[in-house]
Amino acid sequence: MHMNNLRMWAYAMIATGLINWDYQRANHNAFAKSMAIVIPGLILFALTYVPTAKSFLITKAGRAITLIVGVFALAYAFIN
Amino acid sequence: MLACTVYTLVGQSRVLPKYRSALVMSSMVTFIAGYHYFRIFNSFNDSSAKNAIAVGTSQGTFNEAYRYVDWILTVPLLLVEVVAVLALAKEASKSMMSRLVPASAAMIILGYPGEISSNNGTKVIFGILSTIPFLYILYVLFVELGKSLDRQPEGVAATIGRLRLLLIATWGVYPISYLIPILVKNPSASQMASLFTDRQIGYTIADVLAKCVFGLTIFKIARMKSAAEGMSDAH
Repeated sequence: MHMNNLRMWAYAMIATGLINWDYQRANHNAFAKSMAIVIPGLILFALTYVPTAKSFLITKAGRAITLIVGVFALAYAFIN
Repeated sequence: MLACTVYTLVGQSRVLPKYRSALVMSSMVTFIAGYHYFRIFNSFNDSSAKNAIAVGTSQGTFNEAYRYVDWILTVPLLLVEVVAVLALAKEASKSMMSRLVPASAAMIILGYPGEISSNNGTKVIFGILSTIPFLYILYVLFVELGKSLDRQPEGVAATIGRLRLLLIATWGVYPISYLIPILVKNPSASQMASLFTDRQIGYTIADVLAKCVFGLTIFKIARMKSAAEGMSDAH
């Protein structure tokens, strides 16, 4: 259950980053800015399939890190 | 959309754990759509001046085809929500998802060339092509999914029935909006502007209904099933 939620969290970051890029494609640095949202999402998504990473992600520290990274990435999508 | 995201996220504790993934998906769908609308407003603002809006695909113009990016990211998830909230056996869920997700992606991808085309013939052809996967989705939801409804608690089957009708009703607004530009032959500039606005309104209403109302219905089903399985109403 928890892994599914993390995958959804990662999916939200990837999707938001792609939409961000799509709308600002011609702006200076739009790709780099959008990748700052997409890449953490991709990394998190990949980690949910790695056994050693999985066991870290379900710890309190793992949850806190993914939450903080996600909140920052999604907030950045609104302000950049 | 964002309020709906918060509501379905916060409401997770009110349903049994096995139904929470459906609510998480619903939250993600409404969040992505909410963010997309935030960007749509920016784009609309940047491309409009003196009561006119520049529509096209270049920078500084409003490109309504961007909606397709949002839809391809969210519509397959909407269908996965339905399967998830039913909590079917693993094999049945897998089989259902492996048919619904590609069909919904095909429906959106086939609609895109028609959306960006200014030729009415192209619009109609791709409109028809994208209707084929849509009909297949209806077949899976009404015929295949219908078989599993007998095993659902009392009241849930009726709500799922209403959910399917809601899906037809809300998804039915999309093709109507899609076809709006071809309803008027040789439109004047002011008619073009009005048709454009009508289409945006149509898509927006359809999005709110298909994502928020659909998500709230999923939440209701999850609540009903949780109550039927012994979860107290105090939650």
